[in-house]
Amino acid sequence: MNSTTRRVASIFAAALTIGSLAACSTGGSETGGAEDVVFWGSWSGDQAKQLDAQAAAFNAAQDEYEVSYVAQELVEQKLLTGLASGDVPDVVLWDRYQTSLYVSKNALAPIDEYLEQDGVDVGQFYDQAFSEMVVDGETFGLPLLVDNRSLFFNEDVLAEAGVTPPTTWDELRTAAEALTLRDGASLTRSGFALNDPGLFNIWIRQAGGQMLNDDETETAFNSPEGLEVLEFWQSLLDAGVYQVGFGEGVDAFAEGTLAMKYDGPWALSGLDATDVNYGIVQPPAGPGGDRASGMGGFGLVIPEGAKNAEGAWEFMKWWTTQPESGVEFAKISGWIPASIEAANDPYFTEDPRYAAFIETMQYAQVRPRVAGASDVEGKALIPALQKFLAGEIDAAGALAEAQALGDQILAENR
Amino acid sequence: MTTVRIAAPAVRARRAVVKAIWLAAVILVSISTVMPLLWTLATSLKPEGDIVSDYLQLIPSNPTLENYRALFVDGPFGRYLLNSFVIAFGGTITNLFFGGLAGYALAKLHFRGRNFVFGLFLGSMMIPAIVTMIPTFLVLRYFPFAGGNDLLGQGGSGFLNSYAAVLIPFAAGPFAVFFMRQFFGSLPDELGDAARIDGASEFRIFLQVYLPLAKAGLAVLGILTFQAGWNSFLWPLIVLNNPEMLTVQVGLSGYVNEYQTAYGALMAGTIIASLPVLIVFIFSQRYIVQSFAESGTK
Amino acid sequence: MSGAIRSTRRQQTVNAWIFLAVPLVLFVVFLLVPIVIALTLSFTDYAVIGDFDWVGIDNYARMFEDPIFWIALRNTAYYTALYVPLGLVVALATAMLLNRSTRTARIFRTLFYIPVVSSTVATAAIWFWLLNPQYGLLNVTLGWFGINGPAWLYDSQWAMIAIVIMSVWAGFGANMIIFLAALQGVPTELVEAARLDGAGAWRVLWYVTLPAISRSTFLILTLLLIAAFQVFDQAYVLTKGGPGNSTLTLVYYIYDRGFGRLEMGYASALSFVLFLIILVFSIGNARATGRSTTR
Repeated sequence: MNSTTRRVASIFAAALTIGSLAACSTGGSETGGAEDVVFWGSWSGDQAKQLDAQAAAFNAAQDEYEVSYVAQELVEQKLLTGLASGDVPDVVLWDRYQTSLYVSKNALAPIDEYLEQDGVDVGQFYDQAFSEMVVDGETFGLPLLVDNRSLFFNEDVLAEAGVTPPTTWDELRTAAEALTLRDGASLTRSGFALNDPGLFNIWIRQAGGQMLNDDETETAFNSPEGLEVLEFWQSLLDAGVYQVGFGEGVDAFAEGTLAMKYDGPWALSGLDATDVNYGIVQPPAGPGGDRASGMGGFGLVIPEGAKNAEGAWEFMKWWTTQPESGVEFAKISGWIPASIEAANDPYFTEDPRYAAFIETMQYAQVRPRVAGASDVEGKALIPALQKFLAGEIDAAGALAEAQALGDQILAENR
Repeated sequence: MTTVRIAAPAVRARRAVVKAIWLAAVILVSISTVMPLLWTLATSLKPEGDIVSDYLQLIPSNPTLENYRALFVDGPFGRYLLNSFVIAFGGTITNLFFGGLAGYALAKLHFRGRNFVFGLFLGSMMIPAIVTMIPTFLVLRYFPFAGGNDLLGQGGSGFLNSYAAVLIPFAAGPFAVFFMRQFFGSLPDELGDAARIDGASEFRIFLQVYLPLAKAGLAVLGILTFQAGWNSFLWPLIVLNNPEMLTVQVGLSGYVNEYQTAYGALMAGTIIASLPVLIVFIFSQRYIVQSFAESGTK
Repeated sequence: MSGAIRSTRRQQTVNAWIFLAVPLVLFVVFLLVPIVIALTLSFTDYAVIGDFDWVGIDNYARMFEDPIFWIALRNTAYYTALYVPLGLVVALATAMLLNRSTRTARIFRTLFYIPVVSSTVATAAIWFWLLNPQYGLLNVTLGWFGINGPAWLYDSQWAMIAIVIMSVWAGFGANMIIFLAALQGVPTELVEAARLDGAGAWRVLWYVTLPAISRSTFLILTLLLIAAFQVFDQAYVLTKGGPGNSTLTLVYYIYDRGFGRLEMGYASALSFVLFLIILVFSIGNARATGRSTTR
């Protein structure tokens, strides 16, 4: 029994030692003087350095606060666990689209007071971008960076084929067919990429239709306009312009095996590093002359319970409302600021790479935010369209399937 | 007694054919397992531009160590390696010891409730890990007297943001217990009974009679546990806030983002990250397959 | 004599509980308590943050009306039906192939084990390229034999099969070494005796080898089943549940609801249903391998 007790004791001692040794965590750093402002975001690697540089610029411009950026993979989840454990950052850079979901769970702090107190004019931001930060009349952050989808084309390839950048759907089809190259049965150069069925919400608006009905209670994409989109896609596929899976995993556009595609400003820095000569124009107009594009981007929010909300606000204000800050950041990162004045700075409008994006920004729209909307797209519409593109179901069938599931999702969420 | 047989030529020929088929099969499988690794190695040595344009080439035309250098310059990769090592190694030691002990108890000791306890451990392995993630997180956060907490678990941050958060919950997991129990179960009872009659204590029987026979099982468990700890991604991500404490897998995932994947650095990091597990495996291999002469005595 | 047996019995009991102490305590604190919390949460509309209310069995009722739940269930069942048998056979076959103590065998064992050491992120990146419909090694190789390979990850009929192949490739090494360890316990005298009696390789396998390693077979089948029902990583990294929702598995859906839509209560309910499914199959597995879980 004695040896057993000793055994027990030593087992538990070992366990406790390991436990207590392991409980030593690395201490945090302390800075004297300026107050710390903790800044989270999901950008890592090179992009994290861009944010570090921007934070440094703010720190140099004043001495009351010191912002430090911490890259967090899966920042929404980290925020979640942070809120659950009472350890939240002061300001977060994230996808604006997530705002309404988290606001409904009281995760973010409203900033209306700050807006009033400092007399900030919210009209200076792109309408659509700002609207994503407002829930039930209260504002929960400011838009920071905007993007949209415009048409990229390979200048050399187009010139060689004697084709000018298309401005309508018909021109797009003609151009794509002229630019496609085949070697027997296999595709060697695709005229236009149809790889992202998620862009359907742009195409349907170009056709004059809409994704949801006006009061956002039902889907509205199973319509003549929706069918028009899919028929157009089918005509491209039938002409052999694109093949499912073509160019995935590599940058086909940079390699010259893809002549035209829809893409956003995030692609610029990557393309500039290669030697492809590219141009950008506004998205082609639909059969009825309608223009449409999708807007996305990031915003800055302050979580509930942030320790230094004041510092967070000062940082937000400096970055979003002062046009120079926005332009400076674009020089480092290539992202377009959400302030209309900043976006119309000559730095953008006189640069052939940005000019088209700024024009498109005027009519680009954000995605619907009604509860369940992202599931309608992600779980109902896109899967059906994927099957359509792979040739498994026809256009009418795809839209009907998507509508049935989509309406069910919206009904459930109401 | 080994029988010495002089094989007839027909038998010898057949044996040669069998051997040839064996070799062919083994080589075929090896190609499928090794090829991707070779490709990863090749990609890690290619400069940025070549990765996309010559991606099928197995021998890089302009080899460079730039990707490896970038790894250590971009982020605290060395630190990540250390963190992963502490977690993997610590977890292996605790699981081998406590898992072995518990598995032995379930296999060789007779007591009431034995089947129930085994059922508990087995059942717990079936709970999808994802559902207990947030509750476990909360348990770690509000643990009394940890990391500045008081009796009711308020005030501090519990075990979060420390090695404890990653080590303690999995220090003696049900898999280790289950696995060693199966292993000890296949060893004969008579050895223990004999030692018991001689008056040895239970712990001594475990340590000196059965444990030495379990080398193969322990080696396998060691490999699997080390690897699980080394490759863990989601859990360290959730409980560790401080970037200095993150693991190699989290570091690697930073190279894959929505817009572009830094293949060069990712592959270089993968090569480095795969080495320790491979070394542990090579080292432990000899304990797994013993020569025929030895195994015949079981 | 009986006194000695009694004290031995008591000694065993005391020692057993001491040996089991650490794993049991950890089990209670870090598994049982969280499981109970999660079960309780499944009857609420918990969202980690914000207030939450009791909703009774609403979450469970909702599940039956939820078409995406059924899609996820079907996908997961399909994956399991393919992955478990294939994984078992490949692991056993390779273990038997390399069950020699020659240096060649040892080298090949290391080579077979290589896929296991690389992480999911890296494996996914590698296979993403291998499966590329135009340039991927797989389709290029099939092309040599005149076969026009499918669009793999872009075709809803083939995406799940691609993931099964990738998972078997990535995991067979680990199960192979478990089988290898077990094969050391096969009594060689029996094998030789059977051979001397004229039994062919197949009969030796069926009547001598397989029974001798049945414990490990049960272990590996259990592990494969549990892993198959919880498949997530590959679906998350490679296909994000597509195309056409064909790789949307149960755990992927749970993650999507819980962390993506902040519906933790519903996610917990889904998890418990998954747990029950796994439990049913594990009991079936135990019965089928001819021994109860308690022997």
